Amino acid sequence: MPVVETTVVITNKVGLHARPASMFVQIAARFQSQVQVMHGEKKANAKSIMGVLKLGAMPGDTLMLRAEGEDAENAVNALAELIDRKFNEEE
Amino acid sequence: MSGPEALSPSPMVVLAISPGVAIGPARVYELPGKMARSGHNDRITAEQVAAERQQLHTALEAAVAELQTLRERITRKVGRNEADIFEAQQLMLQDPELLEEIETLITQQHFSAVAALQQAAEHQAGELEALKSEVFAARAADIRDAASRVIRHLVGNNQAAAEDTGVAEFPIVIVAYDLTPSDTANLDPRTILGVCTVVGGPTTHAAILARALEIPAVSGLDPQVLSLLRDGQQIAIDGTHGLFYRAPDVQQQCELFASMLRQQEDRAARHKQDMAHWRDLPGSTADGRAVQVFANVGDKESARAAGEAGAEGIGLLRTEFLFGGRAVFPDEQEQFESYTALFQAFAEASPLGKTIVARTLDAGADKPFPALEPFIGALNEANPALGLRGARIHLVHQDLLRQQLRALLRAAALTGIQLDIMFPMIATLEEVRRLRAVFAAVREELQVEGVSTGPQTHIGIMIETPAAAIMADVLAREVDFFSIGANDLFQYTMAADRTNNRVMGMFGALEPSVWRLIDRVVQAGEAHGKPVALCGELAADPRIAPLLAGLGVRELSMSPSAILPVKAVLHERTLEYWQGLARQLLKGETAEEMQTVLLSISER
Repeated sequence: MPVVETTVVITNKVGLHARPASMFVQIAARFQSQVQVMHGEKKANAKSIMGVLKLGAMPGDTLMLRAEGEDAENAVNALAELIDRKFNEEE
Repeated sequence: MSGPEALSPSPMVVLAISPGVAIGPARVYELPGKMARSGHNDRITAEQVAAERQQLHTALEAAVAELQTLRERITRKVGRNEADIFEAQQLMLQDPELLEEIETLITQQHFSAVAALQQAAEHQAGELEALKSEVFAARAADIRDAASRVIRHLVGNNQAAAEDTGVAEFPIVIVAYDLTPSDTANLDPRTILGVCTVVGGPTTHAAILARALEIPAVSGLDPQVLSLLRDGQQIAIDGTHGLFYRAPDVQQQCELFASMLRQQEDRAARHKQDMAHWRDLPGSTADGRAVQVFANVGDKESARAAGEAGAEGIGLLRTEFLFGGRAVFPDEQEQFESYTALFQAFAEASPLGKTIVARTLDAGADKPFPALEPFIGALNEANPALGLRGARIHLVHQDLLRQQLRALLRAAALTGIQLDIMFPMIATLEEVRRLRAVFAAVREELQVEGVSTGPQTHIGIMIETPAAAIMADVLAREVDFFSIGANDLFQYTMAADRTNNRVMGMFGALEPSVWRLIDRVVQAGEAHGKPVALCGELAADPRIAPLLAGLGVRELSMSPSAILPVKAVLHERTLEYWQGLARQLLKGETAEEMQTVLLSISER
């Protein structure tokens, strides 16, 4: 099974809460791969909104995304891009 | 004054949350949060585990469906951003981590579903609060709010609890420790004069909702003052200046009452002015050419709202409301009763028309219905938008379609509604012929049974696939009308998932390819004398709606809130003018060129 990892920096205004977290887990759920998000020592299932919220990721924080599965690369790319796009916050 | 100093009539300074004055009897909710207390056994036996899990899942499904309704209502009434919080709550109730924790508590430690849910939600909320950040702590309130909703279903007093704070028999001022977004969204501005809480700032979702609902609100009340208040006591708030009157004296009461009445009259006058002008007038251009303005409706409540908003008919009745969020497929009688209630609600509220165009059940893997699974199996399709959905399901399970058509026709006959029927997701002429044959058989069957089927029912199809748009000249011969489903037509034409922001950002609100297809369909309809309607976001956009009329679309169907603005803008210019702009748009070769034409309209 392919494993793909990447790191991303949170740059949107509010960090990974409510709406951004909703978007994040919904995109993660589209992929079959297991996807984990790591924030320092904390680790969460990217498909769990509770897990993602509890990372407490604020603007400026660095996250590591790690996916394992057939569509791992697409999963990591999609999530990294969402974060890079600041969750479409600034229109 | 002999009483304690707190009874002084001078107001306390609190936080201004939502402008306006409210004075009236207090209704006090003292406890922080309103997490339902089960009061029943917290532990179960090993034999009860399976049943308990089943109940949990039923309650979870019901709560998620309820949140969907709430989300749609708030999107309609307030806005999409305000509704987002309920999406997060839906995801919380589907969260794998939370569900696993609950399941473990039930199966291994034999917790009751209520106790397991409470424990797990409290645990998750606690961890969020431990992050020591205001924004994340606010999400702790959301998980508790969502869990309370499920618990209400589990303990079976859903109705009572849901209406706990939302509706009152007489006007009151609510005083609470805290109000959740769900509480606030349920507040009825007709009886809730104002809201006063201990916690909550001006940027919370509850505050945004209060302002949108025009309910005066303050927060920052001293919790000790809260504990001294009693139900029925006359209090007042000033949400403009951030004041709380615990015991207003006679003169203050007079002034505050006068101020509240003035603001209620202003509000009523404002609404009336906005509404009255267009509400009772049919849609038309400046030169008096009719363009019917219809509403998209998804349940009885929105049918009434559509009538009140001045819809000339229902151009898209989404019948999915009857089938979603439930485990058992509704039988003909239940469907008949629901349609009858909805038809009546619209007929009573609408001054203009009694036409309803019902779309038969548009289910599929992208709009899953648990009740359908026993018939069509679980829909694990790799490509649901291109899978078994809409009319394709009808043709595999004609019994379900027959049942729905019978219920719709019977309800129309009983209520005197002009019912038209359209089938979703059509791609070929063969589908149209087979569906018409089913309809003809149902009609005959009802006549044999002696059921009056009312006035002539027109049979139309949704044009959502490029295949149908391309074949429109052929299809037009065999249907009575077309209704362009603009959202799906866009998605299938551009091969772009409309919920996928990554690709939708690449396209304009209008794309030349889509505009040309719409034009093609309208022309095919005109050539055969078949009316063409359009439902979807394009029709609700006041810049685009008149151009659709210019293209030749004679019926626009949209969410009720868009009806008045669209009627107003249509009437600004003659049909000839709109035709000119529509033709100009047809020349556009890029979305950007089309955007330039649209901008010229909004800047006018």
